[in-house]
Amino acid sequence: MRKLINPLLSLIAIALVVALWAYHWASNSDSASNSDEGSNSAKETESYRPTLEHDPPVPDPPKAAVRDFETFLDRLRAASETNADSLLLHRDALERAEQVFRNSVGVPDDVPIEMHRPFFTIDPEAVFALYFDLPTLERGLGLYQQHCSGCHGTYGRGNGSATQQWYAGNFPRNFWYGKFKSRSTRYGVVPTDSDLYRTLTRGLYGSTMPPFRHLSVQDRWALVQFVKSLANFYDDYDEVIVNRFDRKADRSKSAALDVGDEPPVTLDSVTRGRVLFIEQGCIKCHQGSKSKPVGLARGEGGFTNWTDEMGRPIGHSRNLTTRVFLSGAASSDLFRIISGGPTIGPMPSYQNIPNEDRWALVHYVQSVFKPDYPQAPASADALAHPPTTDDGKSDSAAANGSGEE
Amino acid sequence: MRRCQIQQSTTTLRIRRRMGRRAVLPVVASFVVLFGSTMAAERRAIGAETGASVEGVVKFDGSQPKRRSIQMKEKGGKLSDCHKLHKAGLLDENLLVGDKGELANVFVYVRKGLEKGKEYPAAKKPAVLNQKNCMFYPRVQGVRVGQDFVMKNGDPVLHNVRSFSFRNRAFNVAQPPKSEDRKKVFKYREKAVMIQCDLHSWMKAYFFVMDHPYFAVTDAKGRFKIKGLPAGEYTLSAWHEEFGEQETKITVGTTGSTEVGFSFKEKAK
Repeated sequence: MRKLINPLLSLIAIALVVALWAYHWASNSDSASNSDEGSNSAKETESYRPTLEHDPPVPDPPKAAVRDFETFLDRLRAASETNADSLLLHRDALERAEQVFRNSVGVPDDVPIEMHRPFFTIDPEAVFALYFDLPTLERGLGLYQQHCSGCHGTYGRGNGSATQQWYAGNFPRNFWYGKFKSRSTRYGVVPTDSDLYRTLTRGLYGSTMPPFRHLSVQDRWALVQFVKSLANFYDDYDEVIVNRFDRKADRSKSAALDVGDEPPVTLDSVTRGRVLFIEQGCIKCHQGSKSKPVGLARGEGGFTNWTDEMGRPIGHSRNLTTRVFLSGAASSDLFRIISGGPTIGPMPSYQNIPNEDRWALVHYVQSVFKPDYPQAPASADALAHPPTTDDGKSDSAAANGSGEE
Repeated sequence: MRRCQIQQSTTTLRIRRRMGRRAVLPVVASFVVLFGSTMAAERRAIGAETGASVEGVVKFDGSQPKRRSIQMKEKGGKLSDCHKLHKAGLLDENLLVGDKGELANVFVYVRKGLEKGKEYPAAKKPAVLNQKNCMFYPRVQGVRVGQDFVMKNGDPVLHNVRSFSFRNRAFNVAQPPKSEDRKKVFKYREKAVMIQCDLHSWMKAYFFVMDHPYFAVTDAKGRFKIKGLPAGEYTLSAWHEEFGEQETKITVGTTGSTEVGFSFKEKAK
């Protein structure tokens, strides 16, 4: 037997080596030809147009799901008009709820959370009771408790048990606010259903929110409708309970952003983007005194008050060199976040500057993490008019005295 | 009592009708006659100018507090860009108490009792929020529903204006130096909307969106005056950013002035 095994083993070994070499050669030639093609096309066409990292199209929500949510809104409105007290926590419970919340999220005692009061006044159980026979929302509730409550909390207040253990930044959203980063709507407007579905499907890259692609389409839509049904608050001036997704309560029209067509990436657009990056103040939080765009840590730029919608700390501004963006790195994603703002945290919306300028900013930001893009020349910095404190001295001294009283 | 809780201190309520003001009536009457009856009717319908006024002083109940000095430094001791504008230092405006305990920047408004669904004439001038010397001015103000709310940056540094509104659409705009004024309009009435600049953490302001013109902000001497209130019973509310809200019931006659006092107690430490 031994005489047979030795030659057999050596044969197998030789065969393996040959196979490996063949595979290696094949893959090498593949990649070589690929890179050739890439560089060729970049040389041939002056304006390099990247392939967009688009998600698969979002399917339409099932009609039953939409109808269930509408029914829920009708009941909420009716309950709020006839007897809002039935949906409100009484005072003791309110204080208890606040204490539980402070402890669970770790809001220090000296940080006032009075502005969140409208949210504590609603009894979640009473609101849940409004949709206990609506199949979609009931299904959503079940799925929510199973998949989401660990981080987003039992009642969707963004204070799940996981937040007590390992969160350092990027805290989970409080669904009672209806504020979300990844949207196709303008600043301060609730996201569309497909935005929520999209986030649920692909997760938020760079945060602890995973993709929930493994859930069926129906289940994901049920979750979207359920999450919308949590966004209630008590308006203590008008003394009504309002759902943020209620179009009748907030008649804001034309909420969608106009993304339009992306212009080609050119050296000009990247240079213009760099100039705007300095002029519009992006540089303040995304570069500071560093030589190239990075993210700045909280406190590094003197920005000690960076908090999210719950008063929890926001650790950093986004590092633009890593290509990690919560709501996506495709051109359209960056355009949306620059235009609409993330709604949470200090980043403002730049809806006011023209479309081309916003695209220029997108191209510049992409050129930071895409080395095959045209790079803005150093002279671009000289073109910009960054904020200086020198020319404001004269009138500041005059107004100083009047302002201090 | 938690620090963030609204201090439900007992309102010192001093309502005193001043009969002496009746002497003003003939003067007002002749004025009305002079300018024609249609105009007078219009004014009565509007409710402004013709009704009584409510005035008073808001007091701070406690020892004179020290104003916090603002640290305009970044991490590592680097000076903030605002430091150049305030070499002498800057004091926080969250609690402004006069020599005799008068409380400034208190928003006093009619909370309940007004006729429902009544339309009031729109404000003529826009409400302005100035950013001057790394501070928001005014600190507290009232904005009418539908009125233009204009934000101006007079500073040579970048600011952003971020609102924490719930009922109205929240906004967050960047205002680089010498940029154009930004304008917002609010649709719903809302209480105490905070405004903040994220680049300079001490910059804060508050505004109320009101659906009627009967509100006032106390001045440096703690005084406020609400004019032209129609006769009736109202709930008057006073709000301060550090102490929360207080309510009191008042009765207003057809003419004259009603005096109301509010007093905010020092926070228990």
